[in-house]
Amino acid sequence: MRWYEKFEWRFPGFSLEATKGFWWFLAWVLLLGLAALNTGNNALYMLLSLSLGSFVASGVLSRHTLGHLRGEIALPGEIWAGSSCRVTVNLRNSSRWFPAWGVLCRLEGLPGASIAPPVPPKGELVTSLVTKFPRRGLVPKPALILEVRLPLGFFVKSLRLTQEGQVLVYPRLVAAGLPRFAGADGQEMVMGRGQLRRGGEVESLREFRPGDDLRDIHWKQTARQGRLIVVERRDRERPRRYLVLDPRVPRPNDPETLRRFDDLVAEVASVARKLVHGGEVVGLVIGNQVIPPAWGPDHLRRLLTALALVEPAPLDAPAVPVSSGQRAAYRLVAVP
Amino acid sequence: MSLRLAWQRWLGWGALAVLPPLGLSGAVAWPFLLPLALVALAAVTHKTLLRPLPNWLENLLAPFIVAAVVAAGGVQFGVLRPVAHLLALLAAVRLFGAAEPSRRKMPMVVLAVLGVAGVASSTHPSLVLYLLGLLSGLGAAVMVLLPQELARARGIPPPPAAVSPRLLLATVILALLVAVPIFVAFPRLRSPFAAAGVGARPVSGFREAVALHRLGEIKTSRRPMLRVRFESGEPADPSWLRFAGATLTHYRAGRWIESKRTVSKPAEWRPAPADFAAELTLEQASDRLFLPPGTTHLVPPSEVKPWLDGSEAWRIPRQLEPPIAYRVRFQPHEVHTRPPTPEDLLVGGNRAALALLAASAVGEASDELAKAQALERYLQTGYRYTLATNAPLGADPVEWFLFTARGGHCEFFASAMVLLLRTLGIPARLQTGFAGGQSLGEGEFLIRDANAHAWVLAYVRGRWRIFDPTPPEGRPGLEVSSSRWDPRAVWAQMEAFWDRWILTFSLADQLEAIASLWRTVRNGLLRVGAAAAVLGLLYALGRWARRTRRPAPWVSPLGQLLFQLGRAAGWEEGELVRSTPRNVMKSLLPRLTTSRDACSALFELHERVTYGGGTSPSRRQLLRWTQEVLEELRRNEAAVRTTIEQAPGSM
Repeated sequence: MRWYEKFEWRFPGFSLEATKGFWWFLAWVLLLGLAALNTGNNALYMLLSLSLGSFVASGVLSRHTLGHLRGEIALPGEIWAGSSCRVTVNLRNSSRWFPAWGVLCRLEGLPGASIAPPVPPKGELVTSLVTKFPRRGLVPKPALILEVRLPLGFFVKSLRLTQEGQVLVYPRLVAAGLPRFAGADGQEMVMGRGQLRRGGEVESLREFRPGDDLRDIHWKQTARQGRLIVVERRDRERPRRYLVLDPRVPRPNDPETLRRFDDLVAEVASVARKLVHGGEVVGLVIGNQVIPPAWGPDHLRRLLTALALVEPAPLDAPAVPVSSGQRAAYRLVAVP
Repeated sequence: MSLRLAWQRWLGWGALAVLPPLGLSGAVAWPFLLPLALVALAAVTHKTLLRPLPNWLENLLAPFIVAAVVAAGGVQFGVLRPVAHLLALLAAVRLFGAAEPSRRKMPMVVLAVLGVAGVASSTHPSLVLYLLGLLSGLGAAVMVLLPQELARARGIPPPPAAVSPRLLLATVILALLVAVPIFVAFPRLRSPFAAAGVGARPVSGFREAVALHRLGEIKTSRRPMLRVRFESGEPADPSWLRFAGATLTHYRAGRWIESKRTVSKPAEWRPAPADFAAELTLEQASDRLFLPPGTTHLVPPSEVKPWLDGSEAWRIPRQLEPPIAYRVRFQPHEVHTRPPTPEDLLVGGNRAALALLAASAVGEASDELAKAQALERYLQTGYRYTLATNAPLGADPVEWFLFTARGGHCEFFASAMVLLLRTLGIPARLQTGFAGGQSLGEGEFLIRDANAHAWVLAYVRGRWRIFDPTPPEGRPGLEVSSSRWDPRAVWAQMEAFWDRWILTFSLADQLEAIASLWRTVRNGLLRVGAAAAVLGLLYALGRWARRTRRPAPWVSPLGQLLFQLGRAAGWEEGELVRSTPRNVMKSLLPRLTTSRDACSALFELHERVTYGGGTSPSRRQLLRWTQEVLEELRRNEAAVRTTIEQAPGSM
């Protein structure tokens, strides 16, 4: 460790921005200095000194607060572009003497902020803030920005804390209608769990386990046995269905094309989510990538991950035609 | 509590906070503060928002406010007082609805200016506590309001409105610690606009033209004016504490004025003898020297040639930077002034009424001295001392005092006695200056603005005598403390410190402090330099000694023995220094037979003593073991030499 690295914690990557209060203070000090100089009144010199002293004290204490503050963020499991999500912020104050007071937490480049309650000396605190990720995709975790204005609010001092790792942002959710599937209707079937569609034949009864759907509770048996009993139904056959997203677009670098493509992806993602939640068995075809039809939350995550990462491709890019199952194709149509 | 209500309350507290210094220092008259106080109290206590006054009402109030400010006057003391009056009323009006974001700035600015006016007018030591309290209040307000405003601006939930006492205390303490050196180091330069018409003019002592109107403000000021130190060997008598600044003869239309006819040629002052009675120091800028009435010799400030003016005041250039020191020799119970003239018997105004009153006051007294004393007693007992004097502008102030108000301050009493004496045919004059003071011990006294006083010179029984008709409660006295640990003494000490090092801290003090600091640093540097030289010399000597001395890698006596063994075994000094005792031992043991145990014991003992904290056996035992090893080594060496010599072909 080099000698100056020992002091690095005292001088972390601060940034400084003057507030309106600072400019008022500057005018106050100048006028006061002029008055003191003109009259030679030591009471005014005293007031001036105390004003400057409070300025220094404010700077020292706000720097002390930031210098002893560390924070990490924890993101929710599912983040949808354009939708509000609550981010948990864990703040640690290593100062032995002073609480971190009036600390504003925000994420770099993202909207939303929160003013953390006071973090006690040598204490830890968990707070949260609501933000929105503007675009889908795999993005680095946003840096946590901590801002301090107190004790006297002359400057906004901020500290940028980088966060390790990446975050996957699913496509935007839109109000999309269910598509009409076309193709080999009823020919290709797949086995699906009965619970996905209520009404499959009853196979067995068992005790409730966390994660079971409340709608599967057999209330009569529950009342009789005095414990929660759920119904297990026999699997049944479902049609294989595909959502087909054609990533080939004219002028893939055109911002307007990109925006329209994002809208298209958002629609596919919303439909996929709706279908899987509705118990359908859905696959996804994006260019030459095929995700076979399946069901359940894990499958939905696979679909959404693929949709989050899809990028528009030029028109000559290869595509895999799907020859079996029902299909609903989504394609960006060139507008003349 | 809503954010606006919080703003209203904090602004109300702010308004209440600026009131005390304004009122106590006299910067703003209490009637002007009363509306502000009432509105501020309403802002603090009201549970709903105070609505702004309608525009028509504000417009209606405006002329009344201006009229009240004009009627209160005070321009003769600078523009600060009328402006402060105006701002106080303005703040009272604009505090209504001040919680509205669009109406906040003006009351805040007005309150800030009023606060500055109050602070600038304050001279009491409690000013420090007041400023610290003000900073605490400001910090608390910011701590509560700033996060709330931030939350409102960003549309996020506001945090709880609370104050961290620890953070607040740290802010105040740190600010104070930083402020002290700034206060000391801030250069007290004189601005070219200093004491200009637009600035506040310091009031220091009574002027030669005594107006008798509203001169009471000076009586509340604690600013030091004069410091007096009586020479050692002469016991300081409190009655000596009377220092005249002007002796006035002409009373015209309610004013004592300086005689134009007697404005003099440059004064001839005699060189003073070697022993001086008192040393005086003016702590404020002044255009005159204040001298005891019985002054016989004056040694003026260095490089200044004073002149005597028509009011018999020793004048000096006003631009002299205080402190201004000068020395006098005086006769304590004498008055040295020019002989009486017919002008000392002039009475303006209603002479008949004054004569009637004087005759009734002296009664049967026939002697001049008895008449003067009777008049003095009459005024002291029959009239009331008060600083609140509002003599009508059209009336003669002395007649108003004697016949209507029957109360006033010292100038009224002294002026009245002068005129009454003159009606009795006794020449009299008004003398103004300072009386009384605070004892600082060892013959030193501090005289403040509040010691300003006026008294009477009457020519009775062939000489001028001093009479003081002011009642005792209005006469500046002597402040003396009995014991060093007496709370009053402690307070007096503190006040003296405050006066000397805060209120009158000047450029001269700063220069003196810099010179003193430089002397300290220079002496310190010399000492540090000398110490560094000595240390350097010692270090060089040490290095030289280490080079010339036989290397002693093992510094203990035992180690020295082992070193000796190593040398005997044929080790070079340099190698021995670089090697370890264990290596030396390993090289020795193969060459030993009988003393092998002794050698091992010596080296193991060395290790144990050096690293294990063991105790060493007696020195005799160690020497015996060493001797044993050395003898065997010598024997071996002799045997080897013999073998070599006996070998075939050897020389």
